[in-house]
Amino acid sequence: MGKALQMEILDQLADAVIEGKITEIEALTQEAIGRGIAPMDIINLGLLKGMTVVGKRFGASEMFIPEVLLSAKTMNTSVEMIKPLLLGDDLGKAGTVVIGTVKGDLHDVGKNIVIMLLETAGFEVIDLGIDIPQEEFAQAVREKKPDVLGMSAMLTTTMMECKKVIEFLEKENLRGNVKVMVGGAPLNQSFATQCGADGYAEDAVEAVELVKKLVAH
Amino acid sequence: MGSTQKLTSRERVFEAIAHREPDRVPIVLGSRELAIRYSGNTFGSIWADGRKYVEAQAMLIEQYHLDVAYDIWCTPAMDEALGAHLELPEDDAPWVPKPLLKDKKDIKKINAKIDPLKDGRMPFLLDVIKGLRARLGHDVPISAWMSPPFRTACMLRGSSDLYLDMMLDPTFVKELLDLVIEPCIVYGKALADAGADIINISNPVANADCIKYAHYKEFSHPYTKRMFGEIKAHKDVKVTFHTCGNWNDRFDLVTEENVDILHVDKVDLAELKKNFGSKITIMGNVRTVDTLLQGTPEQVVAEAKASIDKAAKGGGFFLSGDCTVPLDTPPENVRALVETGLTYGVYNH
Repeated sequence: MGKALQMEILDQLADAVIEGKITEIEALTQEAIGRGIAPMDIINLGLLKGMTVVGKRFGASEMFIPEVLLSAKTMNTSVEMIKPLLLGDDLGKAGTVVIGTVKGDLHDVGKNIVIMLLETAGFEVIDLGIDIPQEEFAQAVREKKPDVLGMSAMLTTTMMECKKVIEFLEKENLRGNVKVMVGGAPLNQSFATQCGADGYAEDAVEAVELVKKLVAH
Repeated sequence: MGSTQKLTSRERVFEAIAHREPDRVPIVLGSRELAIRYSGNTFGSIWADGRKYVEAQAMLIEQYHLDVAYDIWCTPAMDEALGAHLELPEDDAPWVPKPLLKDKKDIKKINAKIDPLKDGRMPFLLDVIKGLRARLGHDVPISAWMSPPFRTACMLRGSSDLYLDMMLDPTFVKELLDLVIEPCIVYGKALADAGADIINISNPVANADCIKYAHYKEFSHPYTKRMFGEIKAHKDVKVTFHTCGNWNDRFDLVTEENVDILHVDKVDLAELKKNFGSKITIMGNVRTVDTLLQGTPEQVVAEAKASIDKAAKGGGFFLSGDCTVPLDTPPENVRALVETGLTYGVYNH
């Protein structure tokens, strides 16, 4: 197949992700696979290229959460079809991140957008979910050995939990094994510093840059 | 300088809402957490005995000169009344661990005919409002919280799922909103009947950080407007809308939702006053985390003065934080805000 036609299909995949064309993505993915485009190329040059545009538009308030969630769902539909064709070590090369919303807090929208952008940037992300007690964060750090632990807290009433988790990691002798970052509406840099976190990010786009920085150190 | 404390809190607050200058700016803080912490209680002890919360609010009003008492707001009481399990942590705000509508089909199972005098925590919350009225008398206005239809739908369904529904199945979202608006109105009327003078809402899932203007206009605006219209037709209450997060592109819609008071987050009060100050009362906006929780009394005074300078002229202003005041806020910072309101906030007549 000609390079030009391959590029055309990949561009269509990117566009489907940007526009959230969830009813069209399966057929497009099937066509890309059928025409022999390498699975990693479908992901990197098609889907993730689209998702990068989504991330930028979200950062510029040109897209909002419902549109971004639909783009992510569209991309995931395609990724699920491609996954069986992938080699084990193709994904998650940039590093591993464990992430969760702290105990007593149910907010997952911001966290999920951070996850999506991290995966777009090549990180393997282990999502613990919402309402995560300190023991569960510690167990994940012990077993999954992530480069970075991310905690989300969206309430002035739950933000103190970040500090408790970090103290618990210290108590369990796990703090030295992992970089810790925190985020969420009521938090700021000085709160993160007081908590003993290694970093704070104002929004999802900044969070990805922070993870890259933390992993590099 | 005029003399202070010529008016009762009720007179002061309602003069301000009428866009007349009272004796001084009303001082209004989202004070559930402060009341619980400063009185040595926990959420657990309050849930066990609502009279302790009443006493805690009375203590705050008397010792800190706050002009409005707040109920124990518990917006997820609506989820509970509709069938969800409500968690009541010992020292934290109540919450619902599992959204009721994980599956869209479950909408058929919801019985929207709630009875606020019987269902879940609602009768307890209403009793506390009655207790506040009995303890504080007529002179102190009471503010009570509830949840607007869009937020209620988000809580029942889970925000991420509801956002996706807006993209993929807007008919379902409308069906859910039409279902939840009725119990919202019923609870709002019950708050007014119990003695609330001001009804509060926030809608943090509907701001410009989350959804686009067109979605707000379609899925949130008309429902909030109708809800408050019906509650106000039932009883003469005022309405506070706490605009949590970024609302800059949609204040035009919010101010058309039968709202009297905008309790604003990070907004330039001077600009807001210029654009909407003639039709709405502005409440704000000393930063609660950066300044009240983490800052010094001097920083609190500076921010409180700035808020007064920008928005107090001509009335239509309450001095406040930019959100609910967090549990561990130092008393000296709260006193610094109050002291600024009592002195710098005096109107010269």
